[in-house]
Amino acid sequence: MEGNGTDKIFMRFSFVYFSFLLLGALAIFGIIREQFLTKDRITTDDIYKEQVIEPTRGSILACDGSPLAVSIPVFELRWDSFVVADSSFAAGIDSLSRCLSGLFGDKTPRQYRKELTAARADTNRYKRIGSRNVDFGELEKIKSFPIFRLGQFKGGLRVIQGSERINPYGTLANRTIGSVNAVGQGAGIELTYNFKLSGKEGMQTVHRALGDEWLPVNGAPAYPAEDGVDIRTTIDVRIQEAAETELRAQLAMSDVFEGGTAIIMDVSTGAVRGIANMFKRKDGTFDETYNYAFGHATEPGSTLKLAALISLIEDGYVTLDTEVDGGNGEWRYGGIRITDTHRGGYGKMTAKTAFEKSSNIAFAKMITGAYENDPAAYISRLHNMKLVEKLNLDIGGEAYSYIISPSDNTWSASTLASLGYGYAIMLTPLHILTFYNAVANGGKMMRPYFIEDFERDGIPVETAGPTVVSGSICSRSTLRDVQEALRGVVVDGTAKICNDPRYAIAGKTGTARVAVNGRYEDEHGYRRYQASFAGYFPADSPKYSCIVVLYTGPTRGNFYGATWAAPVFKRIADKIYTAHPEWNPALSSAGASPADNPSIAAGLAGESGMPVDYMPMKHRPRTKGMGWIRIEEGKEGGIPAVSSIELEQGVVPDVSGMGLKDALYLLENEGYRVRYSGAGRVTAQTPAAGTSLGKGEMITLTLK
Amino acid sequence: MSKKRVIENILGGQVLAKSSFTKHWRFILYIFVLVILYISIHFGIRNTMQRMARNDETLRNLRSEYMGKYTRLLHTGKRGEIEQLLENNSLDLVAPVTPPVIIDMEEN
Repeated sequence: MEGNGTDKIFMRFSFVYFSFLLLGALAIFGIIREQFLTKDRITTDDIYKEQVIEPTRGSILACDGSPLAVSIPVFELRWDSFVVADSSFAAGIDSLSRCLSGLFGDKTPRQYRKELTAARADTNRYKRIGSRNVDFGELEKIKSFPIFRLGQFKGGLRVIQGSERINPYGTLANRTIGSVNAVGQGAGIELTYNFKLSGKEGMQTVHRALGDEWLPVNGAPAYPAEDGVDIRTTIDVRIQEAAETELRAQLAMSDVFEGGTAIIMDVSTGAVRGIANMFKRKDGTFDETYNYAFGHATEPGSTLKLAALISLIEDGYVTLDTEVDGGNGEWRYGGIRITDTHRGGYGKMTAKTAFEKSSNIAFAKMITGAYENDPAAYISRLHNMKLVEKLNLDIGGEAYSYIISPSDNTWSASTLASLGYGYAIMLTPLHILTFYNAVANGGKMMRPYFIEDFERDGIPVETAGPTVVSGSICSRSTLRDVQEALRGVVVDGTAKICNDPRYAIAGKTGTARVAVNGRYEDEHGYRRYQASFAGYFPADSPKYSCIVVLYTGPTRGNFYGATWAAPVFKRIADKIYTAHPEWNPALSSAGASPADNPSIAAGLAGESGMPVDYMPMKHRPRTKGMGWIRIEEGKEGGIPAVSSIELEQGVVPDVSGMGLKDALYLLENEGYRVRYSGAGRVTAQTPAAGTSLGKGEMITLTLK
Repeated sequence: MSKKRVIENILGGQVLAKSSFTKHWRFILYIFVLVILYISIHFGIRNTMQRMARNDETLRNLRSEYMGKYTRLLHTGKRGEIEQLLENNSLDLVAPVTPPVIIDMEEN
């Protein structure tokens, strides 16, 4: 019996044992078959691979840190219509079309339905969904749409991840921001600093884990990607927008204009706060496609009279009161005819008046009278004032500026006179502005710059900043004189349109004919004009300098800086002025205190509190650090009472007593839609406070 | 010992009853525990790496969502866009033409 029992156990044991042995042998056979006998055998490359880690391209930021160009992950959507069952398609196509139309807003639900149905009829397995790539938030929504919510294998939605360079402000500062393509061609900051923005690729060895996930191999050589640095520019978005809007509006006023530029510079540092370059496209609209600002050098015209005036005063040839004869409006010198726009001429006048009226004859006479025997002295003076100095800008594309000198073959008997009113010299608008900025900055010439610093996660790793080109372009007394003359142009001269009692502008108009193939006028009488205005404001304590230049195509009309460029300057300056309350003297309370019980609107106090925290009242409530609050007037001279406004999910909050801005902010953040009438503070709301209301429902406010 | 005998001993498990094994059973157990520990740690690390990879992916996606919304808001916040919205909605609000005034107050 015992023997039988042992045999039975042994048999069972042997059975289990040999079963395992067989399974093991099968497994070994399976491995051998996969490795050596099948065509698509698994190789090391299927399990391990070296993976390149792409760095994130750095952002280009405005001076306040807001992004001008940023790379974000995006998702391209494709649809495999083949995998969707007939029943699922029939049940979901209408609502899917509505959802897609609502999200993309580019087509009607009917159009989407038609497109998707056609794609399915064609068994399209790679149909593009939507007119653009979507971000993650939108992708999550799309994944919940009918049909798509069935997943990739039943709903057919295929998601392809990529990266996109986007400019949140659209075409704002487009020419300055620039772009760069896959082969490294492009323009602007994107191209100049491509090496810094790109970052460095990383590498890691990964292996395939269960679930087809690729995970880094522990201990294998790897180095992380180094993201590109962010570049903080000097561009102020509000100023940039003002420059583009006003320049575009002015250019649109005449078909003759081919383009224009407006540059705004911070006087004390040379930081370029706004730079608009408008070039006419084939469809007649204007866009940021050509670098007029510093890539286009021309003869500037009368804006250069400032340099002539400085030279004449500095070298002791004239004062502002020196008399000069403008004659009858026509003067011949060196074989050319010099004219003034004023019919009949200006006659005798002071040098200051000649500057204010922009008399070509007066300046030609003053310059030739002073430097006729030694024209090189005048050229040398212009060089000493760094007028044609290469600016060595921190972004590429700077055009070559130069002055004709007496040793040049092109120098003629009339060249010196021409230099007096802004010809025979090639300058970019940015060169002229740099010069005017120096006058505004007490004689100190600053190099214009676009890059404030290079940052990682908001922390500067390399600072660019301001650079001085010249400590002083002229003496202080000369500077005072020319500043007075520039102000005179606005008060009594050609730029009266810029005169504003609220703040003072100083500047100079310029009108130049543009030479084409060496001629300023063709055989049919057509001319090209460059109308400009350069100046600074507020004149008594300059903060910004600005130049506006408009370029015309061939025309028989006249396009003056005073009538076309100066108004743009004024409108840009006005917009900047409204953002600077500190330019006006502060009002003094003169010891007066507000009433102890002022009527204060309800609202969000926050960390800074409400204005009431800063008022010199005898009894002052403290609201710092509180949330949404209401301040009731104190009774019988008591301290105003502060109470919190309670917020509860799904219950209409009480917004009575709030201004519209606060009420909208609160209600819309709670998920409601708002309609309002009247102005002032909220006096009534429907539905009433405390009512249960679902998200997306409408609340009507009455303000009084 | 013949070859056949050795194989029989191994396959039959008699080898485990030999004194060389019984004498070192604590050490063998220790090695066994180490092997189990090694496997557990290996799986733990793999799980952590998986979580990290998923978290990285989530972070990237959230960044995408944030930047998408942020940039749309920036665009909407442009002065020109606001003025266009006001016009489209027939609202009579206009941009200020004068700056706010600073009032110097004496602290109590």
